[in-house]
Amino acid sequence: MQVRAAAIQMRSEPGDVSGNLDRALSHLSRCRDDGVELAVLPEMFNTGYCARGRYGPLAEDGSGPTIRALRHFSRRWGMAVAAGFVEHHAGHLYDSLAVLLPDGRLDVYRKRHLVFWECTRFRRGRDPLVVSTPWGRIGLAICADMIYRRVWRDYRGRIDLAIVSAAWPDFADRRSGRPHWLFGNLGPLSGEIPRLVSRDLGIPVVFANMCGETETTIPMMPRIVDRFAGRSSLCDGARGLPVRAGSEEAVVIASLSVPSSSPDRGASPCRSTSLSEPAGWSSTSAA
Amino acid sequence: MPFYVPLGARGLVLHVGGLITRGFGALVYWLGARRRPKPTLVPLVIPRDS
Repeated sequence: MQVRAAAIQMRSEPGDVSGNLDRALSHLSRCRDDGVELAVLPEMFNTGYCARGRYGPLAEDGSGPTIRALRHFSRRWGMAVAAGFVEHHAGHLYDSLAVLLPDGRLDVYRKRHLVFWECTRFRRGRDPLVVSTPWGRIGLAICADMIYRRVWRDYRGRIDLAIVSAAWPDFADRRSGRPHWLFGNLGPLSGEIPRLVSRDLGIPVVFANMCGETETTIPMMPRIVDRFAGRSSLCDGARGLPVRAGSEEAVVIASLSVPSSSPDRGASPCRSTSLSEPAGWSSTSAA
Repeated sequence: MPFYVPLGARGLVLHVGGLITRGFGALVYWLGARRRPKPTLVPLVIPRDS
C-alpha cells in the first residue's frame, strides 16, 4: 500500500504557541495541496524546545488549542497529523506526540527516554504505542527514543510504519562549526538512524526534526551554542534511499510503500488507547 | 550498551551520564511536583428549593 507522507522541518519560537501553530498550519496546508495523507511535525513544535522555557502554562490536554486546531484541520483536510506537544495530565507534564486521524481519533505517545534537562521538567512515558490506521500499524518515537535499541526491539515485526518526531541538536558550535568533544558524533546520527531503522525493520520511517538556532543545555557542562540538526527524512524500507532535508526550514514529501500487515505477526504487546473525545483524555503510556 | 548504533567509548560515558541525569532529574521533578499546587475541590452549593 502507498501512503503520501510529509516530514515538516520547521523552526519554533520558544513560548509563541499561536505563532508556531500558524506556521505549522501553513505547512500543513501546503501538504494538503500536495495530496499528503500523513504529515509529521517536530517535537514540541508549538511551545518550542528550550531548556529555559516555562512549560507548565503552555502544557495542554486533549482539549487544548493546539490539539483542537490540529484535529479540526485533520478532519477537514482528511489528513493524519502527528505533532509533538507538552502534555498536561493528572498534575504531570509529559513530552508527548499526538496522532490525529481524519476520523477524529486521537492517540498520544509519551517520550520514554528523557535526556539532559528534560529529566527535571517532564515525567517519562512507560510504554511504546502502536496506532492502527488505514495504512497499517504505526509505531511512535520521540527524538532520543530512537537511539535506544529497546525502542526498535519493542516495535520489530509489530508495526508497518514508524514516526519519529524530534528536536535533535547538531552538537556543534554554530559559529565555528566545531563538533562538541563528547556529543559531536550524535548530531549527524539524526540523518542516519531513521535510514538504518528503515532498512533493519523493513518499514518506512518518517522523521521530522526541528531546525534553527538553539542552545543545548547539558547538566554539569558548558552550554553548547548550536542549532537543530534538521536532516528530516522519509525513508522507504522497500527502496532504501531516503529523501532528506538540509538544515533549513523545509517540507519533505514522498510516497512510501507500506508493507501489508501479515496476521502471523501476532498481537502487539503495546498499549494503544484511542482518545476520541477530549473528556475521555487519559493516559496512553501511563506512568 | 543500550544504544541502537555503536558509539564506542563515548557511548559508555553517555550511558553512565544518562543514568545519573535520569536519576537526579527524576528526583528534581518529584520535588517540583510535590511543591506544585494541587487542584482544590470547590464546594457546590445547591439551593434547598431547587
